[in-house]
Amino acid sequence: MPAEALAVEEQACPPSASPERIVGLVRDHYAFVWRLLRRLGIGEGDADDAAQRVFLAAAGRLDGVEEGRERAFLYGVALNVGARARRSLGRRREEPLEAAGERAAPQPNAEQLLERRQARALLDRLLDEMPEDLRVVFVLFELEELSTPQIAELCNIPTGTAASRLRRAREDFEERVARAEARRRFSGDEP
Amino acid sequence: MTDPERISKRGAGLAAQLLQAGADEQPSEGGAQRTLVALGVSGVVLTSTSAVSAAAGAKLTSVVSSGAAMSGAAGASATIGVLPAVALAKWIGIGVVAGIGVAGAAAVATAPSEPPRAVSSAARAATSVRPQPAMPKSPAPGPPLALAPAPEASRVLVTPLATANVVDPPPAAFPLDVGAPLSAEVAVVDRGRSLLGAGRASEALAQLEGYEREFSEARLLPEVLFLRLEAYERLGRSSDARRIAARLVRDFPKSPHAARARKLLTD
Repeated sequence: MPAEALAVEEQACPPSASPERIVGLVRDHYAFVWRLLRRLGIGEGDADDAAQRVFLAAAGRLDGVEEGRERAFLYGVALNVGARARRSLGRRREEPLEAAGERAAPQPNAEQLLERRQARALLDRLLDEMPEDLRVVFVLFELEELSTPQIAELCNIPTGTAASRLRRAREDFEERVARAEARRRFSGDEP
Repeated sequence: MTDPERISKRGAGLAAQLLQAGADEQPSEGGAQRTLVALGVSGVVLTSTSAVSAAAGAKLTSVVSSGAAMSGAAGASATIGVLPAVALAKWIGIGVVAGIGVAGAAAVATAPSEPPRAVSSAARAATSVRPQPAMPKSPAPGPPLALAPAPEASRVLVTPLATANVVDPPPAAFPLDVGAPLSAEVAVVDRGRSLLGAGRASEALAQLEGYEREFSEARLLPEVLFLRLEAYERLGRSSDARRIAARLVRDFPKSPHAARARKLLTD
């Protein structure tokens, strides 16, 4: 089954699963879905709403999802919702600092916040430029720390294909970073 | 097959820095909670302590038992709070009118012996949602819910929505302090929804109209506005319903609730 087959229509239905399962779904996977949406191009100010859409759409079909396959299911829904959101909302690259979701402990100081925000902005720009199939594999491996077999299962592709895409994605990303760094040095700008 | 070393683990270099910054990013505090509210899952507050979040993920604690169950929870080990009952009050998602009975739906009819502000300061500090990805970062699966019997004082009554016997609000319906815990906001939303589900739209409005005044952060405002919109519609106050709908569209255009508001405005 291709990965696209996992992507269900974004259509909210009354929840089909038990409340306990729905709570577990949100508890265990919200951060994953949110970060995935962010790195797939949803602006920070839109990510909460987009994540909510993912869970609203997923909850209505959860009864048909095998136990243990929730993440793969959510992944498919998130790809679909993310694609729609990008089309309809566009991307807000410039967001006020106070909107930052900087909640990692320990709390960074203002300078670190700014650096981190700038780093994320550059990261998102570089990811935006990557081919979509490479980008997804790259994000799942480098940011969500999934293994190649897990990525293969999630994307419903052979493990060899996942490994190949990952290798190309890493090369692609590092080339882009090198170019960005060269540009920065040339212009004297920070990223 | 061995996976390559992750770029972010190299420690130095721009590529590693960028990826570390991306991996560090966390959702906002109320995002997961808002999602639960939108899903109509009542009486549940997702909490976690930063100290254990990486290993344990979010904890679940009942709103009404939070005073008892959460005291001492902050900074504790990776234990999961008690979830005496999780009730699916109703579906208030996109385009579905609150108050339409859903088979099997139930409302939490809470009769808290004390207002939500009784949550301990430690627990309040811990009321942040920091769920963790399940596969790589939280290998231990979340424990089953509702395992431990709740103390009598924190028992939650689960009543089918259609026959929900909504308990009259306590004298102090709202917590009064700034920075009130998210659990208190959830309790107000749950109560408003419960009243609405019981056909008591006027009382629901009385609950919900004070929400913004009482909660400066108003983290569940889109959900509250949506419920107010429903209540106004039920009461036949169409101009008020349209006013709230316009506000939803204006202030929260990307909220799932905005879709219904737009429909109302174009009808």
